[in-house]
Amino acid sequence: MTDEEKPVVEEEAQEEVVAEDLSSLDVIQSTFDQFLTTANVNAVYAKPVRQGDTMVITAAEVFAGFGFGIGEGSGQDGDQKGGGSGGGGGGQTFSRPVAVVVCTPNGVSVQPVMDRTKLWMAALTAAGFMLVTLSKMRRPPRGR
Amino acid sequence: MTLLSSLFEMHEGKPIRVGEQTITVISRVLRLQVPGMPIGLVWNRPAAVRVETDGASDVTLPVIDETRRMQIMLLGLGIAGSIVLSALLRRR
Repeated sequence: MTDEEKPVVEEEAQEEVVAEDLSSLDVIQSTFDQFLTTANVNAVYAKPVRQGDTMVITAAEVFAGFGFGIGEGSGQDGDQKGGGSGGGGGGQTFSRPVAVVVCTPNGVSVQPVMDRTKLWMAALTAAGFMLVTLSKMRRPPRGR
Repeated sequence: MTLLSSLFEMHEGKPIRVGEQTITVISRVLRLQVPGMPIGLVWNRPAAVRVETDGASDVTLPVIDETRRMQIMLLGLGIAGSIVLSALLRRR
């Protein structure tokens, strides 16, 4: 490799890096766009299911969180120069059934969906609050 | 309160025809996004169902999250109960 060829190779390498950065940015953007579709009304209400004269639509709560960050840096140690860049991201989506919309020839009604596990957990937490308070108040103070 | 309500958007679905009734589903969306950065959150939940019957007035049925309501009630009961218990036991 001659000295004249070297800059060309470096330019090509830089172009590749730029192309990779662009493609990764595209991936991030498309992922973020997909994430934003959870704000659509169709993410909450399912497709209607018809059975004879009755139609049922299930409704769920949807929560989605997404984050991404990138960074770069460079430094010099004597004659050596160095640099790098990196990025990372993550997200979570969850949904929970809330109600069922039932349409019959007699009318439309909204039936709630109760999550018994969540209710038991809340009841146990509430009982725990009270038991801890009770045990703390009944315990004789130290140093007497 | 006004700021909170302005953060929420109401989205309507396509009307669905069932017999003499037309149903429109409505959802409430909280969308928070960091400007210029791919960071954000979306909280989308069912809000109501609007029912239009031929020759009658429209009715809007709210979609109530009973599980969330009960959870808040139970946790409130726990906190209130522990406050009352501590107040009663201090008096003794």
